[in-house]
Amino acid sequence: MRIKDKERSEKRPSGQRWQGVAERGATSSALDFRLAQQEAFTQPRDREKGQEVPAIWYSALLDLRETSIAAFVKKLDGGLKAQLHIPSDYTAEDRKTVFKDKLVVVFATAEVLRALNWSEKEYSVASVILGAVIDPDFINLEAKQQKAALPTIKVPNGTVITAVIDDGIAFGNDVFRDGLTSTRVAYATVLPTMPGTAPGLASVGVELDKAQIDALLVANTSSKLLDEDRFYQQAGVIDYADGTFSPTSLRRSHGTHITALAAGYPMDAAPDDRPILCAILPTRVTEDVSGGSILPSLVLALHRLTRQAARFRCKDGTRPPAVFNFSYGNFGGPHDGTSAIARAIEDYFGPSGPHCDPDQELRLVLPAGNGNLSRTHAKLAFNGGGNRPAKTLDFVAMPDDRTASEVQLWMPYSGATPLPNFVTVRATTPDGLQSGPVSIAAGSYQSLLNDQGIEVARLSFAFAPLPTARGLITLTLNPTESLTPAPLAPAGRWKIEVTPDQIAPDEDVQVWVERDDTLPGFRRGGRQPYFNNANYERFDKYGAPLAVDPPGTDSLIRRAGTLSGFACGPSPLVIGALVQSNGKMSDYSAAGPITPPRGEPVAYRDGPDASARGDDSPVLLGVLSAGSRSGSMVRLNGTSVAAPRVARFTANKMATGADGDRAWVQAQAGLQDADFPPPTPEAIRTGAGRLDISAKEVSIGA
Amino acid sequence: MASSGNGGGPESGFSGFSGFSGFSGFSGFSGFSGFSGFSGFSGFAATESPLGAESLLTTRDGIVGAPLNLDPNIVQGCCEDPANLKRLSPEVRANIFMFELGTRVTYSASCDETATAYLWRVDSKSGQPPKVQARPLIEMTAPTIQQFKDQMSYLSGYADLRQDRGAEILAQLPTPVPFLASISFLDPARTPFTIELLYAALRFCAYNHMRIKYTLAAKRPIEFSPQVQPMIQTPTHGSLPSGHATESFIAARLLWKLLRASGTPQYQQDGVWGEMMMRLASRIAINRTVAGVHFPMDSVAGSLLGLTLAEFIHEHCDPTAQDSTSATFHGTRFDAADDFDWHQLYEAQDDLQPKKSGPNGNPWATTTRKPSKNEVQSAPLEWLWGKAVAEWQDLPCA
Repeated sequence: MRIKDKERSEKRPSGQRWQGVAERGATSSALDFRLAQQEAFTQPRDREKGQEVPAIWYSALLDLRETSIAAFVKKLDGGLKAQLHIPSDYTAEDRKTVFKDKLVVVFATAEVLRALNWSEKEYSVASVILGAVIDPDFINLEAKQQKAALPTIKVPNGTVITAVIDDGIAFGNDVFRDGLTSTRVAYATVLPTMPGTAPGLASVGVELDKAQIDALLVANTSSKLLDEDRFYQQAGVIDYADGTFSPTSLRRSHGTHITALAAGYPMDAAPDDRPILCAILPTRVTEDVSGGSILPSLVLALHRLTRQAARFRCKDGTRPPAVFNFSYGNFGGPHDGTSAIARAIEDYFGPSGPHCDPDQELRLVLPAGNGNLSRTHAKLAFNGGGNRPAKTLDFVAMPDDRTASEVQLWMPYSGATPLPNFVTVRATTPDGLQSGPVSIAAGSYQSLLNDQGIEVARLSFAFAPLPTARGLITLTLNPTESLTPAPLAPAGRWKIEVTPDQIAPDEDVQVWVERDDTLPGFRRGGRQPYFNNANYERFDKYGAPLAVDPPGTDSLIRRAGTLSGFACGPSPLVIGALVQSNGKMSDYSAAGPITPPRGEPVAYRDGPDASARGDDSPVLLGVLSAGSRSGSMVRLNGTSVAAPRVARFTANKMATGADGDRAWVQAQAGLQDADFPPPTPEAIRTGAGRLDISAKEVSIGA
Repeated sequence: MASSGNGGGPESGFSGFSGFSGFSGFSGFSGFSGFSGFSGFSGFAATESPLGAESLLTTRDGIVGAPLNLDPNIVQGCCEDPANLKRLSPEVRANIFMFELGTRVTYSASCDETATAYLWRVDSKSGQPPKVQARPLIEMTAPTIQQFKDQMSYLSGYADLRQDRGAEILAQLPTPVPFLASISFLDPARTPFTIELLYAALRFCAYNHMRIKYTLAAKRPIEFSPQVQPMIQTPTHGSLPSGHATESFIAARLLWKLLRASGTPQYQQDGVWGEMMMRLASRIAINRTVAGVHFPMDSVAGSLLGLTLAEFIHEHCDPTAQDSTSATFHGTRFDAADDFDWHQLYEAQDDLQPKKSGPNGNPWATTTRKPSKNEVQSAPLEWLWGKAVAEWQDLPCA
C-alpha cells in the first residue's frame, strides 16, 4: 500500500548538481577522473591531519608511438623520472629499439600519469591505460635491466610447453610434479609478492626456476609429505602478514584448477615432454577503488613467459611449441580486436608481432566469457526514418559497491575529420537530475558534483586512438559505499539517454558495462552494475533463463555481443562452455558477434572458435580438477574451465604435428560436434562446433 | 575445551562431544557419544529413581528371608594394585589418573619485564614418600606487548580464510580427538583405553596451561583491535600459550608414541603417521588464528608445551621410556614477523624435539633431554598405557 501519492511525493533535495566544462586538456577525461577519484577516497583523512600525502603508485600500460623506451624516458624531467620505473624485464635491446607503436608496462605515480595524460604529444604517448594501485614497497626500484640471453633448457623431441597466467596457482601441487621433490614447472613468477631489493632481482614479484622450486620442495618435505602451507610461505606465494591475499591459501583456487586442467598429470605418470611455465597475477588490492585493471600485469606476464618459452630446445635443435592459457575475461572494450589487450596479445602471438619468434609456435587459449546473462551489453540502432526518437538505457548502479563503475558507449568508425556527431548522450541520476549533453567533440564532458562540490560521477567523450580510431563516451561513477568518509556516487536506477544526430541507419552504438564484481572468497569490493530495461525478457515460458535473445526482440539489452572484451583479437583460440551431458551451451557462456575493426568489412570473429565442457550436467555444474592442496579435487565452472581443456588438447595434438591454431581448432570442433545430440547451438555462442574432449584426455588426479 | 579435573568429573569433559552433534555429516561420530555410552549402563538408571528404589525395596522384602552367617572365605582387597583399575568405572579412573599426573608437578611464577611461568616436576619413586625437590619441566616467558602488536597483521591476513574453514573451526572447538580419529582408527568400542589415555592427557594439559595462562595474562587479539571480530566467542583465559595448540600437540604426540610402541610394522617404517598427526595438530592450532582468538606465537608456545608434556606423561606411563625432556620458551626472543611453524619444534620420524629452535645464538625455544631414570612411573598410568598400546597391535590369527 502506498501511503503517499507517488506523483505528489516531494523529492528530498540531494544537493547534487551537474556541471559541464567545455574544454579540458586531458587526453582521457575518464583516466583523469579515476586518478582524482583514488585520491579522494584514500587521502582525505591524511590531508586533514596536515601530513604529507604519500604518492599513489600505479601499474600502467603506456601506448608509446614513434619512439623508443629510452627516448621516452629521456623526455621526462628529473622529478618525474624518479617517479617512474621501467621493469627490468625490458632488456637494453628492448629499450633502445625504435618502434612505430608499442604497449609498455610501467610503474608510475599518479603525478606522472597525469602529466602524460595531459601532454601526451610531448611524450609520444598515445594513451595511458591504468592498471591497479600498487604499494611502492612492492616495486624494486633498484632493479636493473636484465641480460638479453638466458641459458637454454634441453627437452625431448615432441615437447610442448604449457604456459598458464592466472591467480593463485598452487604450483607445488603433486599434479605438477614428476617426483616427490621434483617439479615439472620450469619457471614460475609470482607477481603479487614483495620483490627483493637487489639490482639483479625482478622489478615486481619473484621469479623461481625449477632448481629453486625443487630446493623449496626438498626443504619442506619430511616423512615423504610436502608441507604445502610452509612451501607457499617460503616461496613467497602466501604471506598472511603483509596484507596480500593469495587464493592458494584456500581449498579451491582458480589458477590451480585451471593449470591442472591444462597440464596436470598424476605424479607417478608424469610426462617429461610437458613442461609448465606459470605466472601468478596479483589479486585485487582492497584499497584500489577503481577495481583495478589486470592489463599491465598480463603484459608483464606474457613478456616473462614468452622469454622463458624461448629458452627451450628439443634434442633435434628445434624450439618446442607453447600453448598459453589465460582464463580471464572482462566485459568492456571496443570489441573489434583493437583494444590494448588485443594488441598486446598480437604482439606476442600474432603472425608478425614484434615479440614473435618465427621459429617457435605460440598459441593462446582464452575463454569466451561468462557474461551472457549479465545484462551488461546493449546495442542502440536508430534505423527509423525522419524524426528518430532518443533511446534510454536504465542502468542500475548497485548499493554497497566499493569500486568505481563504468559504462562505455562505443561509436561507429568514421574516417571523417572532425568526427560526425553520431549521437549526444545525457545521464540522469536516480534522483532525476539530468546532465547536459555530451557530444562527439574533444573535451566534451559533464561532472556530477555532490553538495560539497566534489565530483562523484563523470560523463565524458574521448577519442580512442589508432588502431581503434573510434569515439567513446564513458559514464564513470565513484563507489556507492565506503567505510571512510568519501564522495560517493548515488546508487540506484540511472538513465542514459542517447539522442541520434548524424548516426546512419545501418550504424549502431555498442554499449558495455565494465566488469565490477567480487569473486567468491575475496574481500568485498565491487558489485556488478547492469542494465534493467523492462522489455528485456529474462526467462522463457517455463521460467528457465533465456540464453539467447528472443527473435524479434525490441530490447536494447542483448546477449548477443557479450563476448569477453579480451577475446576479440585475430589470433587467440576462444572457447565457449557447454554442458557435456546434453550438448547445450552453458547459460552463462558469452556470445558474439563483435564489431569489424576500422575500415574492415568483416570482424575478426563471429564469436568463440569452439566450445568445450564447462559443466558436467545441468545438476553437476562445473568440472572437477585439482584443489589447492595435493590430493584434493574441487568443482569450478565457467568458460574459464572450458579453455584449459582445449589448451591441453591442443598441446597434445601439437606434439604430433597439428597446427593448433584457430583454423585447426575450428576444424576439430566441426568433426567432433557430431558426438553431441543435435541441434548444434548457434555459431555466435558455440563457434565452429562442440569439442568432445574426453575425460581420458584430461586425467589429472590419481 | 573440556573442563579441568575435579569439580565436574570426567563426564563434563566428554560432554564436550555434544559439540559434535552440530556436525551432522559426522553422525557416525555420535559413536563418541557412546561415551555417554557409559549410559549404556543406563539400565541401572531405572532403579535410581523413587519408583526404582521402592521396587528394589519391596523386592528385597519379598525374597530376603532370615539372616545368614557371613562366609569366612571373603578376603581383603589388594591394596595399591593396578589390577583393581579394570573394575573401576572410567569416571573413577579418570580421577585417579588426574591425581597421578597432577601430583607430579608443581608451579611457580615470576614477573620481570614480562611474566615467566615455571612448571616443575616432582619426582618420586614408587612406594616411597615424594622427595621435595623440584626439577624444571617447563619455563615459559611471555613475549612483550610490542611483539603481540606486531603479530596483529597475521590476524588480519588469516581472517581471509574464515569462509573456507568455518565448519572445521566450529567442529574443533571441543577436542582434537575426533579429528585424530580420522587419521588413526580410534573408536570407543575399538580403542577405549587409548581414548581414556588421551583424555587423561587433555585434562592434565588444561590443568597446566590454564595455570600458565593465568600467570602470563596475555591479552587476546580482540583486546588490540575492534577489527578482529572473531568468528567464535573469545575464551576468557589468556592468549599465550594456546590451549588448542597444547592439546592438539599433546594428543598427536601421545597417539604417535602409542603407535610406535605397538611394534606394528606399518607404524615403524617411517614417520608418516606421526607427520600426519602433527599436520593435523598444526592445522587445529592455526585455525584458532583464522578464527581470530590467537596469535601465531600462542601456537608456538602451546605446541612446545604440549609436545613436552606428552613426553612427561610418556615417562610416567612407560617403564621403557628413554627420555626425560624439559623445555624453555624465551618469548621475548621470538621474531614477531614470523608465523607458527611446528617443524621447528618437533621431528616426527624420530619423535624428537630439537635442542634449539630459532636463530643460532638466540633461540626462542630450547629443550634439554636427559635419559630417563625410569623411576617416576605411576602404576595406574602404566596399566592404562599397556592397555592402550595393545589396542594398536595386530591381532594374531587363530
